[in-house]
Amino acid sequence: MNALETEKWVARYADYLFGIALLKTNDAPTAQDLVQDTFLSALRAQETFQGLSSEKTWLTTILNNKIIDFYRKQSTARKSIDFIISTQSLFEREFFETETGKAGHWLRHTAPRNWNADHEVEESEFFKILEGCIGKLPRTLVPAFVARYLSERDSEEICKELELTASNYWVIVHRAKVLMRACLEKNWFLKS
Amino acid sequence: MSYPFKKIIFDCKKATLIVVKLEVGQASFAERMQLWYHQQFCNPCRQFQKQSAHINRVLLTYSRQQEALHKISPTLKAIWEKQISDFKKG
Repeated sequence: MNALETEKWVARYADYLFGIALLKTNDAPTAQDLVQDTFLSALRAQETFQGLSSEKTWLTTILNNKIIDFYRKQSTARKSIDFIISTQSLFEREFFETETGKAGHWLRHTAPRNWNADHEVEESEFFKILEGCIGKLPRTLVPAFVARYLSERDSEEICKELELTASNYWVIVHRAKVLMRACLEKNWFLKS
Repeated sequence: MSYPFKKIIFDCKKATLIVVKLEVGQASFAERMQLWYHQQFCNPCRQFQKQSAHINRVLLTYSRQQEALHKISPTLKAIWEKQISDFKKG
C-alpha cells in the first residue's frame, strides 16, 4: 500500500507535471495554474487515493482531468470548428486553385518548392523562426497542433481530450500543417 | 479522362490531408492508393510529404528542448509548499 507524502509533492512532481501541462496548453501561466490546482484538488481528495497506482500516476490523472476541464471551459473544440468552417473558402483560395478543371491544385506561388536541406546551420536561430511560425498560427488551431506535433500521443487520445471528432481533428491538423509549412518555407528554407 | 481520376490528379488539398493522416498510420487503403496515384503526377505534393516529415522531426526536437528548459521557479515552489503544509494544518 502506497501512502501519500504530500510535503514532498512539489519537490518531486512540480516540474514533471508542469512539463505535461505546458506541452498540452503551450502557455506557461495556464500550465502553472493547472499544476497548482492539481495539488490543491489532490489534497482535498486524499481519501480517494486507493494506493493502487503510484502517487505520480494519481497526480497525473488529476492534472489530465484539469486539462480536459480547461479545454471544455474555453470551448476549445467549438471555437476551432467554427474557425475552420468560417475561414474554409478563404484558406482554399489562399493556397489552392478554385478554377473549374484544376480546382484543388496548389497555386503557382503556394506549391511546395525544393528546400535546401543543409539550411539548418544554427539550431537556435531556426527555433526562433519555428516559434514565430507557431505564434502566427490561428489561436484556435494551436491546442490540436501542439497535441499532435509537440508530443507523440495518439490521435484517439487527443480527440478525446479536445472533444473533437476524428474528421474535425484531421481538418484542423491539416490546416495547421499547411500554414506551418508555408511559414517555414517563406521565413527560413527559401530565405536568402 | 474520367472525372474521378481527374479529380484525384488535381486535388492537392486532399492529397496533403492524406499525408497528414498517413504520418500516424491513419490513412485508409483507398486513401493511400489515391495519394500514390496523385503523387505520380504531382511533384509539389511529393515535396510536401518530405517536408512535412522533416517538420515533424524538428518540432519534436524543439519540444524536447523546451521541456528541459521550462521549470517552475523556486519562489513559486516555495509558495506551493507553504500552501500544502498550511492545508495539512487545516
